[in-house]
Amino acid sequence: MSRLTALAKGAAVDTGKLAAFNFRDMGGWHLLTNDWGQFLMLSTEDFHRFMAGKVAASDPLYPELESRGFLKDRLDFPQLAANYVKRSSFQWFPGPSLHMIVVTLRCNQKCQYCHSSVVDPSRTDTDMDIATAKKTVDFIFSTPNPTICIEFQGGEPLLNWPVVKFITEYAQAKAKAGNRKLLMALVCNFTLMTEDKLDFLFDHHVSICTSLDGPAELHNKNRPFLGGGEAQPKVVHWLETIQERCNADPKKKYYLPGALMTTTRFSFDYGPQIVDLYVKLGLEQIFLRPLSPIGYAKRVWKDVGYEAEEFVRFYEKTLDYIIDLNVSGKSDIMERMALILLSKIVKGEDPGFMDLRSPAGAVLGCLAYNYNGEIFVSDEGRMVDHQGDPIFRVGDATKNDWTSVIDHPTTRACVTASTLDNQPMCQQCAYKPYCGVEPVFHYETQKSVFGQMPTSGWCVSHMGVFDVIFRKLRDPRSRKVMDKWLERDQCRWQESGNVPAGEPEAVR
Amino acid sequence: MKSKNKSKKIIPKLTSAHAALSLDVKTLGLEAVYGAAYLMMDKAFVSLSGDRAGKVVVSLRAKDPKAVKPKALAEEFLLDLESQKVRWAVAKNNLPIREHIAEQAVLIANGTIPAPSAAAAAPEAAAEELTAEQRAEIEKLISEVESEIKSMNDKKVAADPKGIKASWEEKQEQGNKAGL
Repeated sequence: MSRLTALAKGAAVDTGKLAAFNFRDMGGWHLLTNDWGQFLMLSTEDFHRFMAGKVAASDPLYPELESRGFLKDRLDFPQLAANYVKRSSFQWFPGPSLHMIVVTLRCNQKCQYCHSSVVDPSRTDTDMDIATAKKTVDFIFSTPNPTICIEFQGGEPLLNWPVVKFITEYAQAKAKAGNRKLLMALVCNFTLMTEDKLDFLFDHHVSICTSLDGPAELHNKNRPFLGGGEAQPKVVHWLETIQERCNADPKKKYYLPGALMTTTRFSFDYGPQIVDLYVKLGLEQIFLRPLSPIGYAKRVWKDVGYEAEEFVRFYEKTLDYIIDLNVSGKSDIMERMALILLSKIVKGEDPGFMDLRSPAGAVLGCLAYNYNGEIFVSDEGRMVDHQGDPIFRVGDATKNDWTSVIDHPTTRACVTASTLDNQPMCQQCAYKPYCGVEPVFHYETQKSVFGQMPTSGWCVSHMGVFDVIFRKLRDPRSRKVMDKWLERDQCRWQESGNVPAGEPEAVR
Repeated sequence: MKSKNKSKKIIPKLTSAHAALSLDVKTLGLEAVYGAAYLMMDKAFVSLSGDRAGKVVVSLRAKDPKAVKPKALAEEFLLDLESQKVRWAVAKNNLPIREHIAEQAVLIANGTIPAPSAAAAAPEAAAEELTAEQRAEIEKLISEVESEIKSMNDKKVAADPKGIKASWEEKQEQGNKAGL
């Protein structure tokens, strides 16, 4: 049986009564989903009855199938259409909302898996200058989405602090003048953070995120300083400092720092310890992210990389540990990937996560700007350019306008390739309503923006994580924890009035 | 389509390295054959030959011959082929419905028609007779939508109904002209 799964041999089928849907054999039960984002978890016996057209109107299963749009002659068109809009809210947004600006390629760390194509701290020629920064912000404000999120990336953005300050102030002035909603975020390694910089970031409502891979021995192995030294204690120090300041001032409550971990081969032995550190630091969430074989990581994949199946095993084991902590009351920490998928599956909402959209976030949801003003479909596309292949470059903020970017052949290719209904396997997958494919990932790993899903590590990894989440949803103990996570997440956004569902994940 | 796997049994030709299956495209459908072949690509090298309107021969060779034997490949292909037939039949049966719901979704998103929750929130108005003013307003809206649909249909290439290609400034200018 293929990874998509198949019907049992000789199964009776009456397709006449079946609405458009996809199914997945979960081993002992079956998952049904449809384009409108509805799902049902059926026993194998019920699934066979459904497929054979033997669920009568008097059957308790009938109203379930009916209300969720699985019976062809009982479809509530207006309601299903409304669900479709809610689930795919990004599709109706006019243009990109997430704009990632690489203010420098320089970095003072040499991470084992670095995606970001960094250069030595002495290479000031890779710093964005003020003139380019101004034109980049002008370009961003010419794009049509009423909400703009600017995210500073690098290299290490704090190495070009004057430009970070300039962009922040200039963008805020433009937002005020043009009545645009502006969100700002900084992704940095904290090694160059100071109280003055922190004051500026707080004063200008810039949210802050860093990388924390886990305990010192793991973090320092993954993310060494250039020339040696330990980075992890600095990260921990600044996370604690920022949290103290946020907790002391109710106005800063919604600017609590975030941290991201990247899973390398070395992380596999540290699942519980990584989670424990996040709990100890009082972080609200942990994001168990796989490593992508893009940029430098591609070159050192044999040292730090792994098979997609290995990541899924790590993810499930670590998620189990997190759920156990929640059940026992020792912590209420949430796992971010689970939360993103649950928003899509349970709430039927689009949380704005660029990687899991159809079509993908490339240009339609996000753009990346290099230090010299060049524009890319995503930050990963910029990294491919740094390796000598400009295929994902769609313009230059100092020369081109928005129309030329949205009309660019590369934009069209990425949109076409990442629309799941154009993918032979994805169009039949039960996870289609919630999933997405990434053209840059597949170009890097399979030399095609379309990719080939049966052999794709992206597909194995995401299908595996979806399997884990749906199994947890069927388990009442885990479901209770996950429902609480959704409730808390909703309250957080509502209280902050900051980023409602459907707007971009400020930090990727 | 009602079926209980009653189609003619397909017997694969097996060698020590290959499995070859001769398939009738008319009864199975070309999409189903392509679909099942595509799904095998993680385990096998797949080649298709023959006449796409008549008989197609699918040849399977394991990528790792030690892990999968030709017979197992053929069995897996046939199992997926049966499912592909069902998946494609369901997809074809429902194509106009999916298109209709997608169209409705676009109209809801554009604000052309209300979402059902909004309509449900105002049941009293729906129960009353329409005033002449309301009727005129509705007729005006219908005429606008018809005109919009006509202009969309007239544009053969690069239709941009949501104005996604317009820059922020152009949108503002349009809004000002419209007195918004």
